[in-house]
Amino acid sequence: MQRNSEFTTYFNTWVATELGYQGAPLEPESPILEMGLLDSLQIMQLITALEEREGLSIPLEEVVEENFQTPAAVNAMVTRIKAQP
Amino acid sequence: MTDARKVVIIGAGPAGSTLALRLARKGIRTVIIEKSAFPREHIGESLSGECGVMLRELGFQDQLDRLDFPVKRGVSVYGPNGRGAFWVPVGEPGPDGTLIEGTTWQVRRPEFDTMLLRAAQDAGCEVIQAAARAVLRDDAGLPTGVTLRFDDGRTDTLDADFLVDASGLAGFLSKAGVAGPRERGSYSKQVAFYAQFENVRRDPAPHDGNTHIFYQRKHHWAWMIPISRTKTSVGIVVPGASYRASGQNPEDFLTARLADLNDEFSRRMADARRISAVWSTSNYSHKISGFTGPRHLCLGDAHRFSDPIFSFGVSNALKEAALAAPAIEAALALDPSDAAPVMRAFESLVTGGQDRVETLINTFWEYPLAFLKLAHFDRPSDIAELFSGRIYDPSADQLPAMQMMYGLMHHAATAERASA
Repeated sequence: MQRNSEFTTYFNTWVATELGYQGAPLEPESPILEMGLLDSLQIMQLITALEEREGLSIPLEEVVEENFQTPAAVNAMVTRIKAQP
Repeated sequence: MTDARKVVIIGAGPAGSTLALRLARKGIRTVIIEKSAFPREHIGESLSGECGVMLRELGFQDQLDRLDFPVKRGVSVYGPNGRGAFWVPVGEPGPDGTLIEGTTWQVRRPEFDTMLLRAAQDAGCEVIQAAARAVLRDDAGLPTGVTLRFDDGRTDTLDADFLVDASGLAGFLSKAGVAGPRERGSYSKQVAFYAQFENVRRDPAPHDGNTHIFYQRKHHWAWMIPISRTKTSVGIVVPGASYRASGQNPEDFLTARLADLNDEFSRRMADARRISAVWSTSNYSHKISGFTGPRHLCLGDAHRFSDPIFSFGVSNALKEAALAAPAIEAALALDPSDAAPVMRAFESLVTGGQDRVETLINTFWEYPLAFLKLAHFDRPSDIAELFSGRIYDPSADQLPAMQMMYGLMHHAATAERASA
């Protein structure tokens, strides 16, 4: 599993460059949905970015809010999908 | 030439009236039994794209224009906190069969239903204002007529060569034991509160006739449907338990949800003024299996209703009436044993349509973000086609979006079994 700290570094870069986020750096457990950081379109944008970066396809059943609550939750989802045969 | 065979239809809603119109135009004698004096109020104001096409084909374009019903170009769906917003345009088949953006109507049901009933009457359908009470049956158990009760207490009987239940949620033939028993539907614990408002904030013209849907958490949602230049039908739907826990009366409950159900909903209702009573309805989600026989069938809400979120009600009614007309015409010319397979084929076609409607609704509630991804990014034209009415066509199962929704629901069922 990619370490949460590593993934969170990537995620911080992504929100800064793609969303223009300029707030305090996010932690693995930052509640990104509750903070209003990602709206629906931006979740879709993130999915596309993750699919390109990781070379995988995120199945529709993984596109649920629970998987986008925190950077750690996103990382856990990516790890789970990569582990599937 | 008018055939002597007589089709008796219980209920003068859109299903009953358009079926009567179609049969009358084939020269088949029809009688509608309706207990209410028209015009009467009814909920369910929004039509799909294909419903608009059917109404134009039946010749209603000019009347609908004259009634000045709002023109609907699509549906906007708003999720909580800006998550899950998407737009589905009204589609209709273009000249080459592919879907193009089209328009349909939002209707005031008292006027709309009266328009359809008058058209059926003008085509030769007889209308009797009475309550249908019991079903007369022959030795083989096949329906041969109904008993009637008039407002003044008089009773009468009416012979029928074919009996149609278009009584809506009353489910006449199920209660009479002719159709199968009524089962609770997947959304049977929901309650709806609704009223008409003025000064609701709409989108700018030409999009001022569109439907808006707002959802909060699962099974908590609201609708906004323009029904005239100034009036808008506004309603909320929540689990009955959440209403009972509030301890509020319907008026206060509706007012409170206008304020807290969804930010975008509240913004659009900020200056709105209620101009009608607050109506409520519950126990509307139901399903009847075995809703046809050699000499009877049930249409629309009379055999199934799930969740009104995507406004399929009137469209399903018109579609099922269109499918029923040739099936009834064929059945009338056949012995009961030969008519049975014709009616079974109708039942299977209609059940397929209603199953797809429910899959669409279930997917939306179980996977709102995935539904958004499908509707807005991955397969927008598939979703527009399904919303527009292709949902009754068995070939809709081949649409990638439909396949993906079946996959999602299969996944949900598997996950539920694993956690049980």
